[in-house]
Amino acid sequence: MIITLYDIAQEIAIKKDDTTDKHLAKYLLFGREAIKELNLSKSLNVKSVLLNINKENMTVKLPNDYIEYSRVGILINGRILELDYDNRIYPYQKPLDLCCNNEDKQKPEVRFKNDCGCLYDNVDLPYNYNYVWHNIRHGQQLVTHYATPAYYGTKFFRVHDGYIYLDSICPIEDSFIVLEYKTTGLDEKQTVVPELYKEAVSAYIDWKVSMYKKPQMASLFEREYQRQYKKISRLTNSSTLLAILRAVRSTKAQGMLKY
Amino acid sequence: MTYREIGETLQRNLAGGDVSQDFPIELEEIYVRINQLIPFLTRKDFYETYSFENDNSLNTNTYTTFVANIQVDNTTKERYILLPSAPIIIHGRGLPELSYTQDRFSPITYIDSSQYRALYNLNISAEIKGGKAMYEKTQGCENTEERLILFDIDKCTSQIRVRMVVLSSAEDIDENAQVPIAEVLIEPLLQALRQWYFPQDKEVQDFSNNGRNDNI
Repeated sequence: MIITLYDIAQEIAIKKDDTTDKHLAKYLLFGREAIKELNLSKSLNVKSVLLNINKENMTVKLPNDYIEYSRVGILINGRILELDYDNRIYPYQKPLDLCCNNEDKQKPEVRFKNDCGCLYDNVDLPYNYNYVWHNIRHGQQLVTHYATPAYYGTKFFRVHDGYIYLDSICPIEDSFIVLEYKTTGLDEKQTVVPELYKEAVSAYIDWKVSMYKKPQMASLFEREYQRQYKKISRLTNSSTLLAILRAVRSTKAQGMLKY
Repeated sequence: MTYREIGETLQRNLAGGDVSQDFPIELEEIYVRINQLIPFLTRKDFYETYSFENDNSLNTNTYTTFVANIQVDNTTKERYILLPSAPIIIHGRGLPELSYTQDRFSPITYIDSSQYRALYNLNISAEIKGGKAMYEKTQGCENTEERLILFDIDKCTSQIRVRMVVLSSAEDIDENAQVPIAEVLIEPLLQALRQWYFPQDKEVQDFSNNGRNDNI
């Protein structure tokens, strides 16, 4: 069952014997703060979306819940040409056979322009390195596309002040920007709260409300929030045996554990 | 009790028995006075009983439920319903509660008209599930209207059920309608009416068992 922030606010209203919606907005406001705090400190929530390109000024408006991107690509004819990725999250290796016909000596701009052209003409790119980019939100749908990793050595875009500014190299007819980004966890519509966070969000709202209404009780509610916060930490940070084994094997050469 | 029943009870009490044809106090003027007293008694009761019962709500039988037709404003194209009176709201209690006529459970949330812009800017209104409604008193060229502006209501809906504390205006009182006040407040209402028409009767009983005289 999907739990939204609205559901949690209703639960709190019942707990407090509220007979009207008078405090609903307050609960939602504190709930959104709680989601942000828990997302920023407790998880690395990423989300993929398709974004429209403003053709007049070659800009793309970033979502309101955007923190930083982990992957950016351009969708052309159902295929994604990746523009950049966060190498702290995706340690890709460069494809071995970059380009055919000695084109690997071309400048990145020329290669990128050629690749865009190929995708527009439905011609397969000459790289044998593709992966599947899953769960890209497009309106109410989730879509999946094949993607070619970024390898140009330059980004062809910059992110500034809530917008992506694209370099006008690639033709953008009927194309979208595909963005995978770290989110604050707040949705454009009703925010969906992970089951694991539900009690912590509820405790956070109780705590914040008490700060305004019953300050003498605030420390009690804060303690309950901290208890819920630690509960999430224990559950999210607990490692499986397989994860521990991988950690040991990956660091065996250095003779020490990273964790 | 209805307006007529309360009016006739008072008339008989003031007349000391049967009411003559030329009795100087008309029923209609009693009805007007009843409507003047209802908000006062409702508020007073709320503060008195709330103080020792710690109850969060207004008495349930002060509410009236009715079905209103949805109108569309010619200028703004906003959808709204007309209320018979401004809602009585005490500390957030008494907010109009709305529901669809065919579906009582889909939520329609009342939002404060002074907050809707902040709620929109902070994206909190998007978090609220279902429809929203907001009270507005509009001054037109000909008359003043009490409106509930509707947002995000199903397009096909033409009627909405409203539950609120209703006060009818003096000119359209139905004397056979129930007086919108809790049963326990009928006696204080009669006492207050009697004191109004018979000023020598100064004694008004304090109904609140809270160790102080709330009628001072």
